[in-house]
Amino acid sequence: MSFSASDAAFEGFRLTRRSPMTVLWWALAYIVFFAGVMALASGPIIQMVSEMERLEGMSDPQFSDFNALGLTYFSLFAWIMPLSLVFGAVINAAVARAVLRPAQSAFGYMRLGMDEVRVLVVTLVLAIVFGVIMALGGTVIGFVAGFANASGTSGLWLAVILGGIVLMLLAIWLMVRFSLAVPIVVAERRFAFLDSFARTRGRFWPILGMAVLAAVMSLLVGLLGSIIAQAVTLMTGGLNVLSGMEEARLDEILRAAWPALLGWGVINALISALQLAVIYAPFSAAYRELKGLPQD
Amino acid sequence: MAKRGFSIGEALGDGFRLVGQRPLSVFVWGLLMLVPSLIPILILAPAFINMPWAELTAGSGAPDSAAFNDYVLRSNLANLLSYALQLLVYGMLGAAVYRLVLDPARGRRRPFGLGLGMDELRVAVSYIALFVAVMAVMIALILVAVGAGLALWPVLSEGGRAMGVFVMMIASLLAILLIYARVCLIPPAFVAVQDFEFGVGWRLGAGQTWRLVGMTLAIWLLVIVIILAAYAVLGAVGFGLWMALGLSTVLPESPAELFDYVASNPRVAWLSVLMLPLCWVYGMTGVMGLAPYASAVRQLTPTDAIAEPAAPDTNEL
Repeated sequence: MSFSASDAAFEGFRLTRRSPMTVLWWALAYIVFFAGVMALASGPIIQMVSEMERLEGMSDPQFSDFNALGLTYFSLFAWIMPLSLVFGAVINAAVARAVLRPAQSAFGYMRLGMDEVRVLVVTLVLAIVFGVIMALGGTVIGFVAGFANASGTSGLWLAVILGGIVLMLLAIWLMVRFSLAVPIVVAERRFAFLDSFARTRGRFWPILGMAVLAAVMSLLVGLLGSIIAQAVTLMTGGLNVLSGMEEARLDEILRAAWPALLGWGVINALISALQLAVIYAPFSAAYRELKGLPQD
Repeated sequence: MAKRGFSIGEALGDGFRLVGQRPLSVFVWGLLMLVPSLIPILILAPAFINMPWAELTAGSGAPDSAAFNDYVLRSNLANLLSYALQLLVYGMLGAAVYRLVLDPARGRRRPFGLGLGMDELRVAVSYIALFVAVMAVMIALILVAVGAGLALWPVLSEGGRAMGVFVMMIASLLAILLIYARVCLIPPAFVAVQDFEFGVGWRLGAGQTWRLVGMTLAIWLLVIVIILAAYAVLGAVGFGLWMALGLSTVLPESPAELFDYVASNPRVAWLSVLMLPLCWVYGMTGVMGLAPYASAVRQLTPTDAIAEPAAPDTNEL
């Protein structure tokens, strides 16, 4: 089956028009997720900020002085990272479900079931494969650069730069070839690690064109959203009210800055939800067209 | 699709023809081109006036933070709005000119050929995509040039290095021109086929690269000549008007002095009449920068796919 790249690129807008409540659900999910993370992380973040201020005040900080900062950072990262991965899987699966199974619209298509587990595992495995390939390529380039530097063989620098460009092109190629993985996993309800490769064979350019269109649309949505956010900031005075409140408790900060924080949070969550639909829905639409599935 | 060449003369002529047929539209398009610069000024003006200029010029301590915060917030909003308006205006202008050159029937029944629909979105999207693509290629070219420079630097003599830098600059410029020539037909082709098909414009440009480079250089030259001539004429008229109005030859040196100067010399407002011919010139440069590419698309596309230009319009609206 063939598919129209320009038609698929607008699936996010069609989804938003067909089910505007879905976008509100996703925005709400963003708000809940970020509010939860901020509430849980505010303590360690404040600790990190004061630790950084302490380090700034030192004239000759030693490596051991960074230990406390590093420990706080990694302990924060250790539980924010898995939470983000689960949240990402829920949202990614929701977008694919919204395009591929439009009837299952409850809770903005968000679930926490086997689809999400499969999406989490497949995206994690593909991200690791992608990361390993990039790291290998980067290591080879780094080795050549190191050799060029040590031996004074200046001619090798051209090879290093060309290698870097080839690696970036390889990254784009891999991303396009992996891009249908989530829709396949959700549509076929199975762990599909390499099926995206087969499904995208011979369709690299149309899918890349569709991705470029979706990215530009997302950029436009972001730009328009930023204008609204900036206008709201102008009306509420913005987050400038937070300046001078470094020592304040969370409840004091919230009391002083709640209109600005609320406006900023709601608008950014809405923009993120819209961008999510605009940028991810086209890939599910492309899969649906390539597979010859019905739209409803 | 039968492949044939296109005439640069006809393409440039289509630009002049459109200017001649729609002088009022050209003025409106020029006026529209000023909007992205004017609206942000209107947003910034109140904060700009409220700035503590006396403190700033005297350097007497920290400026008022509330006025500064207001200025920064407004300036952020003005920047974002300016980007959005530029996209909107150039999308509208591009779509209007492309439509009128590709198929005048599609451009009629629209006020000044302008509209706000999918054609405008297609043009805006194509401009963003091409801007990003050309920027990415430019960065890659700069990196390659740096790599080649590093490789050749030790083996070249002093004179050879200077020559190498010169050759590299020329080669990079030529490479950017060639790439631009290969992609420049994509925006009008979007409007011609009424679809977001990057492949159509790309394929139309195949085998026409050098001709498109030549046309692009001719357009740049033409636009530079038009602007220089217009500035020379308008500068002379402006100077004559300034003297005729008996305005002072001592020019204000700060924004505060400028406000005082305008307040005490209301006749200076007469100089704003020069905006009218300036708008027309801007509109004309806009048309000359856009119409030839649409003409090339029309010439390169079989005649049964896109209509030839129709007879001159009698009613611009």
